[in-house]
This record gives sequence, C-alpha cells and structure tokens, in this order.
Amino acid sequence: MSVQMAPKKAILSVAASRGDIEKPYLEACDRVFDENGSEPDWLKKLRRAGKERFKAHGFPHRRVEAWKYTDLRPRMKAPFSLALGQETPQTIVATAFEGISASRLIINDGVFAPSLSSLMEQSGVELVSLKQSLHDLPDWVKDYLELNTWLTSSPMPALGAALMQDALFMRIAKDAVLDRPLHVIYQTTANAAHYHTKCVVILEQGAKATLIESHVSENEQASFHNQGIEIEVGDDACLDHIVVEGSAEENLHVTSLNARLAQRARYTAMSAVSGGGLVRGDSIITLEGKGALAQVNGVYMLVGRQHCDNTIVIKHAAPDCESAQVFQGVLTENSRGVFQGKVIVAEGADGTDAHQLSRALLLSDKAEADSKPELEIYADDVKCSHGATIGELDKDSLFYLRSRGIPLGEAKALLIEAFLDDVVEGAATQELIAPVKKHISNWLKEHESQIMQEGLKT
Amino acid sequence: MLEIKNLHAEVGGKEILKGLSLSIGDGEVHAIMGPNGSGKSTLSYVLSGREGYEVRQGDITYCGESLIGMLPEERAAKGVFLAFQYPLEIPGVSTMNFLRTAYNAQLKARGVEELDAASFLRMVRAKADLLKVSSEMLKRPLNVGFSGGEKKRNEILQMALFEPRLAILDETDSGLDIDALKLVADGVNALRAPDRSMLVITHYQRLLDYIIPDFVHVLSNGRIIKSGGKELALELERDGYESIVSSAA
Ligand SMILES: Nc1ncnc2c1ncn2[C@@H]1O[C@H](COP(=O)(O)OP(=O)(O)O)[C@@H](O)[C@H]1O
Ligand SMILES: [Mg+2]
Repeated sequence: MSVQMAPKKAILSVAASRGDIEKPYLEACDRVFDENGSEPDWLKKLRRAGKERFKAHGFPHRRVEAWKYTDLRPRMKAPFSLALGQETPQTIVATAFEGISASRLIINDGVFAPSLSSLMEQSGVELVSLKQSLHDLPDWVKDYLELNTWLTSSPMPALGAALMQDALFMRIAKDAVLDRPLHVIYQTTANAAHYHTKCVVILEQGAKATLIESHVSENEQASFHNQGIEIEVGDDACLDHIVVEGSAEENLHVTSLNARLAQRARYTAMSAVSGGGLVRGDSIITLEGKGALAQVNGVYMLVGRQHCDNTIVIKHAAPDCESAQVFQGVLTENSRGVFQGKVIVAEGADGTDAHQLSRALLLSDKAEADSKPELEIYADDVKCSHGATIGELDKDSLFYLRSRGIPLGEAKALLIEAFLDDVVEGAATQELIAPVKKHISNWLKEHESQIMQEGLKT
Repeated sequence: MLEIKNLHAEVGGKEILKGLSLSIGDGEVHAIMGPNGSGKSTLSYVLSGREGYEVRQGDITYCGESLIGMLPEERAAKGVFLAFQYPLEIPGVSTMNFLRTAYNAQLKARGVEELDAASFLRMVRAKADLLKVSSEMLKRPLNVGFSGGEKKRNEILQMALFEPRLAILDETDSGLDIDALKLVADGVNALRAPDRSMLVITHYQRLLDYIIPDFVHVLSNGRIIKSGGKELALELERDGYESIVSSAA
C-alpha cells in the first residue's frame, strides 16, 4: 500500500503545474470570446464547449496512454501568444508541389487568405471560409458543425474550436471528379505564436478528389500550429491525401485528423515529414461502410532533436473493409520517431483485412525509434498483421556501392532514398509521387553531414 | 602493377591471410585457385578495402601507391574492380541509376567531367548487348530477382563499363551453366588489354579453359603454396588440392 504513496504525490504536483501551463491558453480563449461578441450563438456555444473540454483535460502528457512517447506539456511552456492573422500576408512560395497545377488555398497563421489563393474555377467544389461567410453559412456547413466532432476525441481539437480564427469547408459534389488537386498551404509567419486551423473536406457519393497539404514557414522564433482536419468520404467516393511537412525545425505541429469512410469509399494518405521540431499526427479513421478501404502511409526524415509521432487508430466498424498502415523513417543525431498504430475491429466487422508495418533506420546511436502496434478484435473472420523493424543501413550493400566508386555519403543517401521511396510508390498517382520524392531527395542533399556524422556504428 | 608482400590480414580477430606474396605485371592474367575457406574471398576484400578486413603486416602496392588505408571508393576510382562472388541485391535502386551514379562518381574523383544521360545510356546499351543484358534488366532494381547468371553478367557489364586497371573476379564461374560461363568468359576475354591486369579467383579449373591465365597460384591456409603456368590448373584438376597441399607442406 505504501508503494502507492509516491505516484499519488507525483500526480498532485502534475495537477498543480498543469493549470500554469494551460492558463495563458484559457486566457486566450476568453479574449477570443470577448473580441468575437458578434458571432452567432451556435459558434459562441461551440467555442465555450471547446474551452471547457480543454480545461478539463489540459494538454496531453506522458500519463495519457496515447501520448506516452510524446509529452506535449513541457513544450507548451514556451510563451506562445495567439496569432491573429496579418492584414497583408505574403506568399511563401517554396513547396514541393511548385510545378503542379492545383487550386491553391493559403492559410496564413491560421487565417484563410483569399487574396493569395488561386481558386481556379473548378466545377464540383464548394468552398466556404468561416470568417468570410460567418453570417451566411450554407446549410451543409451548419449541418456539419451540428455534429460537433471537434469536441469528442483529444483535447487538442477542442482547444482549436475555442481559438480558431477561421475554418475552411470544402465539399465535392456527387460524382464530381476533380481535374486538379486542392492544395492547402499552411504558412507560419508569426513568431512565438500559436494558431489553430480547421479544415473540413466532404466528398459526396462517387466523388473523386486529391487533397494536398503543405506546411511551410518563415518565422524566426518557434510557433505552434494546432491543426484539425475532418474528412468524410461518401459511398464509392475516393480521396487521395498528401501531406508534406517542411516547416522550420523549431516549430511545433499537432494534427488531429478524423476521417469517416462510407461504403466502398477509398481513402489513401501519404505523409512526408522533414520539418517541425515536434510533429504529432493523430489520425482516427473509421471504416463505417461495408467494403471501405483506407491506406495510410508515411515517411519521416529527422535531424537534431526533431520528434515525429504518427499515431493512427483505424476502426473497422463494418464488414469487408481493408486497411493498411506503412510508416518508415530515417533518424539521425538525437531525433526520435514514434509510430503507434491501433486497429480496432468491431463486433460484426467480418472479412476485415488490416495490416500495419513500421520500419525505422537509425543512423545514430543517440536517435530513438518507438513502435507500438495494437490490435483490438471483436469479430471472428479477421485477417490482421503487423510488423516492426528498427535497423541500420546494410553494411554489405554499402560496401558494394562503395566498391563501385560511390562515396560513402552518396551510398548512404542512395540506400535511404530507396528505403523511403518504397513507401511513396503506389501511395498516390505518379504525378504526385514525383514531388514527394523530390522532397525526399532534396532533404538527403541538404543533410549529407547529418547522414554521415554518426553513420556506421562499428 | 600490383605487388603484395608478406600480407597478413585478419577478419573478426582471426588471421586468415598468413604471409601472402604475389606480383602481377601489366596486362597479365593471374589465376588463384584454392580449396574452400583458404582465404580467396578474403584476399579480394582486402584488395578492395572492405571494412573489417584488417591488414596486420605486409604491403600492397598498386601502381606505385600503397592501398592500405585507402577507402573502397578511392580504390575504385583508381581502377580497382572486384566482381563479387555474391553480388548484393539492392532493392529500390534501379540498375541503370546505380551504373550512372557509380560511373559519374568515378569520373568526378578523377577530375573528369561527368557524362550526360543520353551518351551514358548509349554506351551502356552497347556494352550490355554484348553480354546479353536486356534493357528490361537495367530498369530493374539492382540484382533483385536476377538469376545467378544474370547477376554475374551484370558484374562483367560493370567491369566493361568502368574499364579497371586491376580486375579481381571472385568465383565468377560459380553457379553458371556452360552457356552462361562461355558468355561471361567471352566478356572477360574481350576486356583483356595491355594495361589491364586480372586476378581470376576460382575453385574449379573449368573457368580457366575459357579464360586462359598467364600464371596460376595455389592458395592454401592463407598463403600461396605453389605457382606455375596454366598447366598447373590441369595438374590440380587431375590430382586434387590434397596432393599439392601435402607435397608443399
Ligand atoms: N567475418 C568473418 N569472421 C571470421 N571469420 C571469417 C569471416 N569471414 C570469413 N571468415 C573465415 O575466413 C576463412 C576464409 O574465408 P574466405 O576468404 O571466404 O575463403 P574462400 O573464399 O577461399 O572460400 C574461412 O575460414 C572463413 O570461415
Ligand atoms: Mg570465396
């Protein structure tokens, strides 16, 4: 019994300091409520509910099972202040998708910037900005907001609901096949700021679209982006989702993604993370309709003290659905990569096919990779598999390449590129794979010294 | 061209080469024969600079320069080439991309301007045709799913491309049927030149019917115990390693 004393004390001290860390964020909520007194009542209500939920839970920390490897609380001590958006934002051009013809939607420090966006006339897409159309929201947006999904999972989307300066709603009409991707560019320009974004993407029955999200930055002092993205893929609809996180190495970025798939819906996601000091991708994907398919792939390339955590929950709620998660990363210096993949197969979800794979290349003995696969199965006829490997570059392969005159650094880059490209291949259309591969090869070129540094552990 | 003197080398803390001496002149083809485990592959790795193969004593002089301590990639750029006994499979790296990266890396190390993609492609195609390496094979990941014969042909293609001054062929004949063996041997013979020396490592005499050596050496327990002309290979084939090893002892 006496053994339990110590943890109790510890919990008390955590509770005491917790309020301190959350305090400025709760104060920011109050300021936002005051400044937005003219907002419709439903929005005020949503914001207040968001604040209450966040207040009840605080920032996720190590004692919360899903955040075991990623402690957000100490990182939130930094004196961030709420970004309120700039009068005249400028475009940061550099994204991996420069040459790709797409509708570009720029969100600057959390505020949609129509003047920078190129909303090419694209039939089949409706786009609504909360800020622009606050008093004139279409019914489908109101209907969506009624669901209040932002208040149900981790406290982060709830904080986002309380503090958001804007939100983007995109709806792809029934059977519409978009001829160009929608490219959302999140740019961080504010220093030592926190900002909160919301995007909602709804594909109606039979629609087909590609969503690209790029994260870029130009700030000098670390900022924090709390991102929320909600995705609904209707019956027989198909969404390709590509994310490239290439913002500055100091920035913090937490994404809470919630996707729901109807019958025979297809959702394929591919993320490439090389930016951000702490990047947490929290995805909950629910296969609600029979025969739906979700493929969630990701690569990460880390240096310094970068920390990248991909935490995925896939809920098989209907029969005959397929899901696959493949995450691979390369870790140099003191970086850390985390993969947590959970598959939940509900009662009655027979014919489920679910796979998970996590592979990490450690190029330094100070780097760390953690992998936690989990299965919760309540159905009978189920095929599930998971694999996790953590290793180094193959020495024999390196020698073979070097014996042909390829210098060590280049030989390593070649093997790393092959390792990462393997995940990217097949994750999207060829046209969109190329920019992601380019992002990877650029990273390799720019980080030759990190790759070389603590390379071979002989 | 190559002068090995009293070479002692260790692998994993175990001495494998125990005082090996060998001298190869320009344009000469030397064969090294020896039973399994006698240290043939070890010699090839020591010459090409593989990590973990430590020279404890002796010298290796190549074109007037010591190879000891030189990186594998530097040796390659200076013209040392090893055709592996077991070529590595490298998933995700296309054979053509690998060839071009390696070729250009060697040019760069020598201070020569890199070759543009189109000229390189033409050159590879021409050399690949002679070795019956198809353009489909060149697109595939390096050695992945290649048959034993395809892998060995790919090694010889690299030798043809890099035009080394010293080519070491480690059991290039192993795992080849007679037609594949002839094809590979023809490829090697076509590369014989006054400024190119070869060290042909083999366990069986068969390969030496097709690649006729100027000299034959017998390696046993980390040293050369007998040297002679091409007829020594036939003698070995007839009498076996046992009699030579015991008569040398
Ligand atoms: N990494 C290693 N560690 C320890 N011993 C090794 C290692 N590699 C090879 N050897 C030993 O060295 C000896 C020579 O091997 P090798 O050069 O491959 O012979 P060969 O090519 O003539 O068959 C063998 O006894 C083998 O077991
Ligand atoms: Mg051998």
